[in-house]
This record gives sequence, structure tokens and C-alpha cells, in this order.
Amino acid sequence: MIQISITRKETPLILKLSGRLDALTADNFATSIKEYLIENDNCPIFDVENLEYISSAGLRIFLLLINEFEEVNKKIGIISPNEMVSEVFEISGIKDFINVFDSVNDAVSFFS
Amino acid sequence: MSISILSIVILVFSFLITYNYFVSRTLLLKNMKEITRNLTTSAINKSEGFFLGIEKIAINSALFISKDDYFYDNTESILFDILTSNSDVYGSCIAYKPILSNSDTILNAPYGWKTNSGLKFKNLGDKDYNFPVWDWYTIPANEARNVWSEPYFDQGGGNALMTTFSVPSYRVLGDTSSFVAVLTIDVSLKWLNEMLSGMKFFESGFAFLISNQGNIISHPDTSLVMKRGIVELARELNDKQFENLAHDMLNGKEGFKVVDKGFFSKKSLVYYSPLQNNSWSLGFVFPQAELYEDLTLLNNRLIIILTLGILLLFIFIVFLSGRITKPIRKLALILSKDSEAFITTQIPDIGGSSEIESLSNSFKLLQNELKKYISNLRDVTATKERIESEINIARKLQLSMLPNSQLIGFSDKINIASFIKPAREVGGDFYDYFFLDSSHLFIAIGDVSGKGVGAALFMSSAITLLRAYAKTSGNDLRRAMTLTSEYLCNNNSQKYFVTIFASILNIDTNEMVYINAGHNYPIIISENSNTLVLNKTHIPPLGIIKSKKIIDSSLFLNSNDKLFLYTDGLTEAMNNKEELFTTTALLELLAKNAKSAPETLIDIVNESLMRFTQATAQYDDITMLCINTINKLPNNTFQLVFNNIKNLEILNELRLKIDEFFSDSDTSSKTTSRLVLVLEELITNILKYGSLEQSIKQIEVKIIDKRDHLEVTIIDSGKPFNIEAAIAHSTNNSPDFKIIGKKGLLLVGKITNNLSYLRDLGKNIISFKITKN
Repeated sequence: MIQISITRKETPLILKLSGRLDALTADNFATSIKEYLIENDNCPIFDVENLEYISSAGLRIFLLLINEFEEVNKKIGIISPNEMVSEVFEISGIKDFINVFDSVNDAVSFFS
Repeated sequence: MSISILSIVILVFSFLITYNYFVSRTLLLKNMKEITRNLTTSAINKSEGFFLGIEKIAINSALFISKDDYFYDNTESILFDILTSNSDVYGSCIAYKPILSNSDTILNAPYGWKTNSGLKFKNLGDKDYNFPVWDWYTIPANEARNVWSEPYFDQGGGNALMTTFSVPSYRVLGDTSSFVAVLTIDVSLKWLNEMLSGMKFFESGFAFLISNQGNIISHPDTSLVMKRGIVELARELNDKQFENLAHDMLNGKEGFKVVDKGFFSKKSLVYYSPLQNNSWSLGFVFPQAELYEDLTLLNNRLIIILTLGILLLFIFIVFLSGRITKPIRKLALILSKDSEAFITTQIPDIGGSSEIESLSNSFKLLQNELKKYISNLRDVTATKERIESEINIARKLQLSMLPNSQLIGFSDKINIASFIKPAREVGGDFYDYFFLDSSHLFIAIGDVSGKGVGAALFMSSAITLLRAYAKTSGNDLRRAMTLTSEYLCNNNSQKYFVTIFASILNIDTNEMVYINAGHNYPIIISENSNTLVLNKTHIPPLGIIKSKKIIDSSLFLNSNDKLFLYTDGLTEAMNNKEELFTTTALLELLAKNAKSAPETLIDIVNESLMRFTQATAQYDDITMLCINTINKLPNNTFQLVFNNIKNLEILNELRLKIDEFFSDSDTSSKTTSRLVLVLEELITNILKYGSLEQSIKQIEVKIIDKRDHLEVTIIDSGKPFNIEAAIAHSTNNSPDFKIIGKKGLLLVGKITNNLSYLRDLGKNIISFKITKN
């Protein structure tokens, strides 16, 4: 189960994720994200404070986004990942390609 | 029969006799009345003639008295004439009217009477007698009419019953007449009595005469005469009928009366009629018994003759019917014996009519046929008994071929219950289970086409072959089945075939390898009431077509899963409405009782089946076999087997089961998250790369919770995939974030320790450790 909600519409766009991002939810997540990004082509920041779990299936979606925004020299932001999510980002080696923030304010101030 | 004929004859004769008797009686009575009337009339005529004669003498004589010249002087000659005119005249008197002279009355009444020494005369006109006061004088004198006196006994005059006739005499001067005298004639009634007593009818019939005052004048019993009055007698006897008779007679009536007793002492008929002269009444008495005597005699004779006739008839009938029925009775006697005696009794030649002879011959024929039949029946029965006893032995033998059905504690890790019920004495169903080695259990269930001895023989061949080949094929189920199939096909002249579900269960790993040769799909019941139908047929039934290349299937049973095997006799059992028990009903029943032990489960199914079929005869053999894996895992061990995986939904189930397992463990949520991540990555990988048979794929996950790490084993039936090598490749090469795939293996490689891969028995076996933190 994964839920997505928009906590900030203006740039930078902040999407709040809660639940689990695994093989079962990854496909739905990918579809939903695409819809948000078509509406707003800004590089999004993901508030993952409530994301419990991520597996390689979820990681794959982030990798696709990273690749997509790298072409326009933008990095996606991640706010408050938990230990598990951090570890996965760490191990998979994509931490270097994202900006990790401790709070929403940090993220907003970083972009502005 | 003779009795009934006789009864009818007797009845008819009785009727005839009775009818005859009554008709004759009526006729006789009628005749008798006629005769009596004639008799009476004649007696009356005679009596009346007698009295009339006396009356004429008296009247004529009276005329003489009235003539002058006869007056006084000729009195004696008149009396003489009168006395000699008739022998019955006893005496005669001429009582003259008394002559009054001065104060004296002169009475003159000359009287003449018969004595033995001739006629005698005297004068009754003395003062002592004073005749003018007596009835015989006063009535004629005063009333101017003739009168017969009441009869009386005259002691002096011949000692006979007498009656006196009195006539008045008148002298006629011109046209006036004056009374002169009364003339009387005493008549003896002796003649009348003699005449009446001379009238005898039958034995004791008689006549009697009564006076108009009811005195008995004539009667055979002389003691009654002039001594008793009839009315008085009747009252004394208290006989109403007799009293009626007396009144009728006194009133001068004529008629017939039946009197029961009275002075006649027996039932009698009385005819009575009055005399014209003096209103006396004459009666004739006929005792009824005597009247009907002849008739009764006739009747009695008739009865005797008829009785004799009937007796004769009876004897004749008995003789005749005896002659006719004797042969039949002989036959009946023989037939009434019990069958054994009937058979052995010689039926004698019986004479009699041709019908009876032919009946006798028929019986002889019947006896012969019966003898033959019984002899045949004995042979057949003996044969049947022999066959039955042989079949009974066969049944025991057949059942003894099967493993002990309620072997509880067969192994610590397995619990087995079985049930078999052949439709006939012997059947074509079988089941089998035995250990091939310490960890491999061979299980089989089979159903031979058809029923009875043929099927039973084929079954024994099949079970023996399968058992032998299973034991010598080194846990290779495919080989065992191939060899069994080949042998059965080569030695099957009657083209029987057998459906078999055979399996080898590894009780350590719960892996079950199985081959279904056209048998009903077995059912796996999980503890949480899920039922899984192993709907796979690998080869057709054995016996007809040799199956050269046999593929098997395998799956892992969860701990406490039950495997339920059965033959179609169960699901196709019919009730009296010809409805089938059905697999659906079975599945429902099994799901509802998922937690029951195998033996209980079989009992429940059996009970439900009995309720369903009621008294409907069992058509096919019914066999059930239930196996329960009772793997008691150590507390620190988690095991979960997925069968028939269709999609990734198992990941959720796996995660929930793992959370449950670690809920009261000191293992951190970080560690379990890592475990879940690794399992997801590996299972996703297995499903993505290792899938050969998408629908029936088994994955077993086993986790041992050690003090500082988790030991995990994943066994899958996918095609070979060396994950160890794949992971090594993904971790050893510096990660390029641009390569989107393979990140999962990278994660696995980073998180796990000591990961190893093994391909064994067609399975991929991955084992690794996760360090706790």
C-alpha cells in the first residue's frame, strides 16, 4: 500500500509518500508519479518520512526519475528517509544522485 | 361334502313331512267336522224323534181327556193306552183341575206305571202330595204350554233317569175352551242313554247330553250324571275354554271348540248342538291325539322310511365319495409329508377315473423334476458355498495386502488414516503407504476399472508391482510408475486399467513428488481451511497405454497440511434420488473440518456419506486415505511453503507471517525489514526468471532465528538460476546507477552473508545469513 499526497504545489513541488513501496505497489506508484510530473514538470521533492519500506522495485522508479532529471541537470530531493529507506539508498549507491534533507524547511530553503 | 348333501336332503324331507302333516291335518279336521256334524245330526234326529213321539202320544191323549165321554171314567183306559203305546214310557198321570166344593178341594190325579208284574194304578190326588203346586202341573196349567221337566232319578220307577212331559188339556165349548187337566208322561231316558253311550268315536271319544239347566244327563262317567252341573264343573276346573263351551251349550248354540283339558282329560275337539224339543244340548268329544292318530302314525312311518332312506343315501354317498376321493387322499397324504419324505416316497399306481390317473402321473412327473432340481440345487449350492468361502478368503487376503488402516504414530512426523469399503466382497480399490527410507514415505491410491474378482486380481497385481518397483527404484517415482505401467500393459488380456495417484513425501522437507495416472485429484487441506485441489493428470490410467516418458510434479506441504486421497466411489456415491455426493460437497466438508485429525476427518466424511446415501446400495468401492504432516518445528524456526503461486500476493502473506513470527522476539524491526527486503528481492527474482510452470510453482521459505543472526533457506522449483553467481557479479562490479536492473540482487548481496546456491533434485536451494543489529 502506497499513498501519495501533494503537500506543496508551487516550486519546489513536494510529494508526501506513506506506506510501502515494494514489488506490489511499485507499478501503481510509477503511474501516479507520471501524472503528477506531467502537470508539473518541476523536479519533485519526496517527503518520505512516512515511507516504511522500499525494495528494489520502488528503487527502480526513483532511478528512472533520477535518469530523467539528470538530463536537465536536476536532482530529486528526499526528505526524512527512515533507517531502512536510507540503507537501501545507501547500498544501491543512488544516494550520490539525490539530495537528502532533514526537513521540509531545509528542502524549501535549499531550492529557493 | 357328504354331510352337506345329507343336510340338504334332510331339510327338504323335513319340509315335506311337515307340510304333508299340516295339510293332512287340516283336511282330516275338515272331514272330521263333517262326519261329526252328520253323526250329531243323526243323534239329534233320533233324540228329537224319540221326544217327538212321546209329545205326540201326550198331545193326542190330552185330546181324549177333553172329550166328555172320557172324562173321569175313561181315565184308566187312557193311561193304559199311553203306557202300552211305547216301551220307553214308564208312567203317566192325568192331573185334573182341582174341584172346589164347599171349603174342601177335591184333588184327582190318576197315575199308572209299569212294574215287573204289570201295570199298576193309584191316585196321586192326596193332600200330602198336593200336586197343584208342582211345576209339572203349574206350568202347563197356568202358562198353557207343553213342558219337558228336568231329568230326575226315580227311585221307585225302575231306578232309571226319567223326564216328564206335561201337556195341558182343554175342553172346548163353542168358541170357548176351559182348562181341564194336565197330562204327564214319564219317560225313561235309558234308551237315549244307551243310544248316546253306543256312540263311540275312536278310542275314547264319547257323547254327552246336558239339560237346559246345565245338568249332565248323559255321560260315560255315570258318577257325573244328574249330579254335577256343567258350569259348576267348568268353574271348578278353572278352564276358560271349557267354561265358554258350557255357556255356548247352555245358550243353545252349535259349533266346534277345542278344549285343552277339562273333564276330557286330554286335548279334545268338541262338537255341540242343541235339541229342538227341550233345549238340551248334545256334545261330541274327540280326543285330538286319537283324531290325528292315523295321521301321526302315517307321519311317523313316513319319518322312519325317510330316515332309513337318508341313512341309505348317506352310506351310498360316503361309499361313492370315498371311491372318488380315495386316490386323491392317497396323493394328499404323500404331499402332506415334508419335502424330503415327498421326494423319497414312491407314488403308487392309483386307479380311479382317468382324471385322477393323469393327476397322479403329473405328480410323478413333478416328483422326478423335483428330484432333479434338488440334486442340481445341491450341486449349485455346494459350488456357491465353495466360491463364497473362497471369495471370503480372497477378501481377507486382499484386505491384508493393504497397510494397517488405523496406524497412528506411524511416524513422529506423519499421521495416516485410511478407509476402504468394497461394494462387493472383493474390490478393485487399493491404497498403500510405507517408508522407502527414514525420510521418504511412499503413498499411493488406486482404482481398477470394474468391480469384483477380476478387478480384485488386477488390483493385487497393480499394488504388488507398484510396491515392488517403488522399493527398488531408489526414490524415483517416475521409474516406479513407468515399470508398473509396462508390466501391467504386457499382462492384461482383459484390458483392465487402473488409475493411480502415487507420491513420495519427504517428511523432513515436506516436499511431495507425485504422479497422477488418471486418478481423482487429491485435496490438500491447510490448517486455515484452505483447500487445494491437485488438478494435474500426468499420464492416462495404467494398463492400456504404455507411458514411456513420465513427468512428475512436486510441492511442499506446510506443517499441519493434510493430504486427502480418495477414489471416485466417494464423490460418485448416489442417494435414492440418483444424486451424486460430488467433489464440491467433499471440499466443503473438508474445509469445515480442516483442523480434525486424519482418522476423525475420515469418520466425518464417512458419516456424512452415510447420511447422504441412506439405505441406497453402494455401487462402487469407496476408499479414502488421509495424511497429516505434523512437523513440529523448533521454536526458533519459521517455515512457509507456497504452492501454485499465481502472483506476487504471496509477498504480503509472507510479510505478515514473518511479522507474526518475530512479534515476541528480540529481533529488531530493522533486521526484519532487511529480511523482508531480501526475501522480496529473491522471490521476485525467482518468479521473474525461474518460472517454468507459472501456475504450479512451489517456494519454501525456512528461517532459523539464531542468537546474532538469521539463517534463511529458500527452495524453489523454478528452472536453474545461479543466484550466487548473479549476486557476486552485481556486487563485484562497481555499481553503475544508470543500470536500472539488478539493483535487487545488489541489495541482497549487500545485506546477506554467506549466501550460497545449490541445485538439487530439480530445486534451487538458496541459503544465507542476515546479521542481527
